[in-house]
Amino acid sequence: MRRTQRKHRPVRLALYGANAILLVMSLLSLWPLGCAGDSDGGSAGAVVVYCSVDIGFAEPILDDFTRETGIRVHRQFDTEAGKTTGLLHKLLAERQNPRADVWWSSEIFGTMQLAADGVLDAYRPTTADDIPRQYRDRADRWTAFGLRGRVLAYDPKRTRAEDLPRRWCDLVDPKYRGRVAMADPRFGTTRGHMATLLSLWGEPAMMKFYEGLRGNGFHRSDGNSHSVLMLVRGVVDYAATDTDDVIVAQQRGDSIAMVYPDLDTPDGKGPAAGTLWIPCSVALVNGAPHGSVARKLIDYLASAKIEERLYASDSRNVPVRPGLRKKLGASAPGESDVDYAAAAAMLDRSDALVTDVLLK
Amino acid sequence: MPTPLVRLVRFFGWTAFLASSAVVAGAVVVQAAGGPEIEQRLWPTPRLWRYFFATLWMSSATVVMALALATPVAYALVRSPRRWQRQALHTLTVIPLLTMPSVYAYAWFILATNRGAILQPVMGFLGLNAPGAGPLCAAWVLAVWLWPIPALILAAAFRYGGAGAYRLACLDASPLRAFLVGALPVMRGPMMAACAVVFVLAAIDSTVAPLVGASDVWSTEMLASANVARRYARPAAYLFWQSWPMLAVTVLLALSALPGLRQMSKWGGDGGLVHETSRPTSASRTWGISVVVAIVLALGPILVFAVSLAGGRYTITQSFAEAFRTIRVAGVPTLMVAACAGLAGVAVAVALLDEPRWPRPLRFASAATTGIVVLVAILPPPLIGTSLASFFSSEIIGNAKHWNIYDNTPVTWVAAMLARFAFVPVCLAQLLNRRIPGELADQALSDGANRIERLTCARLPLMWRPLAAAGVAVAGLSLSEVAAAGLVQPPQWIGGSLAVYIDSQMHYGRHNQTIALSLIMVGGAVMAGLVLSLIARRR
Repeated sequence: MRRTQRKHRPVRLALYGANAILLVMSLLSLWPLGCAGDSDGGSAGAVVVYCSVDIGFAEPILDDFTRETGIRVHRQFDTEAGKTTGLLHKLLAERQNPRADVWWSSEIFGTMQLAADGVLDAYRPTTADDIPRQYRDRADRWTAFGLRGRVLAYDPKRTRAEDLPRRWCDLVDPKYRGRVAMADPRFGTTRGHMATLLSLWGEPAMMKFYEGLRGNGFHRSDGNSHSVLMLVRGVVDYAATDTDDVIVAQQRGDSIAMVYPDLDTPDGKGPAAGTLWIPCSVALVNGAPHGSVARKLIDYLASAKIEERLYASDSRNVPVRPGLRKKLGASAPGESDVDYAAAAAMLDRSDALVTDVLLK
Repeated sequence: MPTPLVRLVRFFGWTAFLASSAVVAGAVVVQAAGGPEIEQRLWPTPRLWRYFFATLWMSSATVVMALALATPVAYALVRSPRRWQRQALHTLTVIPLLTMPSVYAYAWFILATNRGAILQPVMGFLGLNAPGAGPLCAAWVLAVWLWPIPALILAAAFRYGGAGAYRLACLDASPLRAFLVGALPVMRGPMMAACAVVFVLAAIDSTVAPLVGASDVWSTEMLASANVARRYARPAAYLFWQSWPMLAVTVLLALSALPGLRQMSKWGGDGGLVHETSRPTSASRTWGISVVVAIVLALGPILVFAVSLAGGRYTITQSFAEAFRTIRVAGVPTLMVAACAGLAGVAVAVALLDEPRWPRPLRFASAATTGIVVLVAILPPPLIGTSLASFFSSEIIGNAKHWNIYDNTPVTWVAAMLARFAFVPVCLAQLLNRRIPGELADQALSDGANRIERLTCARLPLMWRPLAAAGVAVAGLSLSEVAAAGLVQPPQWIGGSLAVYIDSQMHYGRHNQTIALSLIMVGGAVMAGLVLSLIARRR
C-alpha cells in the first residue's frame, strides 16, 4: 500500500501543483478588481488609446511615453484582418459613452469619417505647429504625420521592368490575370485607396475597374503584409501594399522591390494624379474619460521626435514636416495632392461598391 | 471534499455558466430573433456561398488528412506492449491539442516562404504554391493540429469496443488487416463522432486559414465581419444571419456525433488484453514508426523555428530577451485569465452533475444546460466574442464611467474562454458520471445523505482527477485562444492576450522575436502535455 502511494507521489505533486497554480493565478486576477477604482493607474494618470498602427512600431513609442511621463497607456490594437475598420466601428459604436481617449490611426480617411460623425473632439497639439496645413484639420479634430505610400510590390528576379504596371488601372489588363494580390478593400489603407480612386475616377469607371479586377482573378488577401507574403511565396507576381510592408520584407532579405503606380483615370484624360501617400493620424476622442492626459499623449505622438522615429524605423514613414524631410533626406516619390476629404466622403459608397461588385 | 465547499463550487459554477454560455446563447437568440440587420440579406450572397463551399471542402479535407495521420498512431496506442510506450505516445498525442494552432500555421508559413532550393520546387510540384491552394494548405495545417482527436477516440474505441472483433479477426488475418477489417467497422459510431468534431473545429477555426493565405473561407470572413459588425445595433445578429448555412451544418454535424458519444459513455472496464500481441517485434516496430510520426507532427514546429531562429536579423539572445519582455507584459494577464477559466470550467462541470435519483426537473435542467454549453462551444469564436462584448459593454452593465466590469476586469475575457472550452470538463464529467455504479449513491442514500452529499461522497471522489486534468486542459486552451479573446480584451485591465499579440505578429512574416515567442508557446504546450499525462496516469 505504502509502495503504491510512493509510486503515485509525483502524480499527486503534479496535480496539487497544477491546481495550486490555477488557484493562485485566479486570486491574483482578482487583485485589480480591488484597486480598479483607481482607473487612472496612479498619480501620473492613465490614458486609453485605440491604435491601428502596426503593434511592432507603435508599442515601443507608447512604452517610451510611459517611461518619460509616468502616464500609463492602455492600448487596444486591431488585428490584421480588421485593420483600422474594426476600431473605427468600435469608436462609432461607443460614441454615446466613449471608452477611448486617443485614436491613433495608420491612415487618415477613417479618421476624417470619425470627425464628420462627431466622434472626435477639437485639440491642436502644441507640438504640431510646423505640420503643413493640409495635414491638420481646419477644426483641429485631427493631426496627420508620417506618410506611407501605396505601392505595387514585385519580385525583381521574376518580373521584368517592362512588365510593371505604371498606373493602378493597368491591373485590369489581361496580362496580369491571376497575378495580383490585394488586401480586402473594406479594411486598412486599401479602403482609403479605393475610396480615393472612386473620388478621382467616378463611379462608372470604378465599377468597370472592379469588374475588370474580378474578371482578372485578383487574389484577396488577409492584409497588406499578407499580400507581400503571397508575392514572396510565388503565389502571385504583384502585391498592392504599403511602403512599410515592402521595406520590412526587404530587411528580412526577401527578393522584393516596389513601383509607385499613378492614380490616373483609366481613360487617361484626367490630370496626372501621381502616387497616393497616406499619413497616420492622431485625434482626441469626444468625451474622452481621461482628457487631460490624453492631450499629453497627442502632443507626444504629433511631435517631430516621433515623426523622425517613425522614419528611422522599418516602417520608414516619410515626414510631412518640410524641415524634417530636408534634414533626413527623405522623399515621397510622385507625391500627389489628393483631396483626402473628398476620398473620406466616399468611404461608405466605396465599401458598398466593393461588396456589390468586386467581392460579389 | 466537504459538502459546503461543493455547494459553493456549484454556486460558482452556475454563476460562471450564466455569465458565459448562457449570455452567448441569450445574446445570439435575442439579437437574431429580430431578423437580419439593415443592408443584410437573409439569403447569403454568391460570395458567401463560395466561402461556404470552400469551407466544406477545407474541413472535409482536414477530416481525411487527420484520420490518415491518426490511424497509425491509434493502432500503435492500443498495440504497444509496454505501458511506458503507450504513455509516451499519449503524451505526444496530447501536445498538439494544447499547442496554439497559429503556431502550426506560422511554422508552415515559414516553410512556405523559405527561399530554399529544395522546398520551393517541391511545394510548387505539389501545387501548394498555386493561388487556389490556400484551403488545401489550411486543411493540412489543421489536420496536423487536430489529428490527436481521432487518434485518441479511435484508440479508446478499439480498447472498449473493437477489441473483441479484432481478436476474432486475428484468427485468420494479419494484425493490421484485423484492425482495419475487423475492428474499424465496429468502431463506426465513435469514428463518426471524431470526424464530426474535427470537421466542426476545422470549420470554426479563425486563425489558421488567414495565416496560410486561405482568405476565401467562412472563418476568415467571420473574423473580418466581426469588425464590421460593430457598426450595427445587433452585431451578433449580423454575424448569425451572415453565416447561418455554416452554423446549420456545424449543428447538424454535432448532432450526428451524439450516437457515437452515447456509445462512448457506456464504455467501461479495461480492455487490457488488447495490448498483448503474439508478435512483440512487429508491435515495437509499429510503435517506433508511430512515435516518429507523432514526434514530427507534435514537435515539428520546434525544429522549423530553431532552424529559422539561427539566421535572422537579431541574435538568439536578443530574440528571447524581447520575447520574455513581451511575456512579462502580456503573459501574466493571459495566465491569470487561463487559470480563472480552468477553475471556472471545473466548477461548471461540477454544477451540472446530477444523478438518476434526483427529481426529473433538476435532471432536465442539467441536461439542457449541458446542451447549451456544447452548442455554444461549436459557435464560431468571433460570434462568441461579439455576443459577450455586446452584452458586457451594454448600457446596463458596462457603461459606468469610472469602473465597470467590461473595461476594468477580465470577466468578459474569462467568460469567452469558458464559452469556448467549458465543454471539455462538462462533457468529461457527464461521461464519467454515467459510468459510476448506482450502488454507491444508493448506499449513501441509505446512510441518510441528501442529494449534494451523495454527489460529494459517492461521485466526486471518483472523478476529481480527470476533472482536474480537464481544468488544466481548459487553461491550456485558453492560453492560446485568439479569435474570441481579440474581441473581448478589457481596454483598461492590466494587459491583453499574449496569444492575440503573437498571432498578430505572425501576420507580418518571419521575425526572430515572433519565432522565439512561438517556441516558448510550444514549450508551454509540451509542459502542459507532460503535466496532463502525469495527472491522467491510471492507478
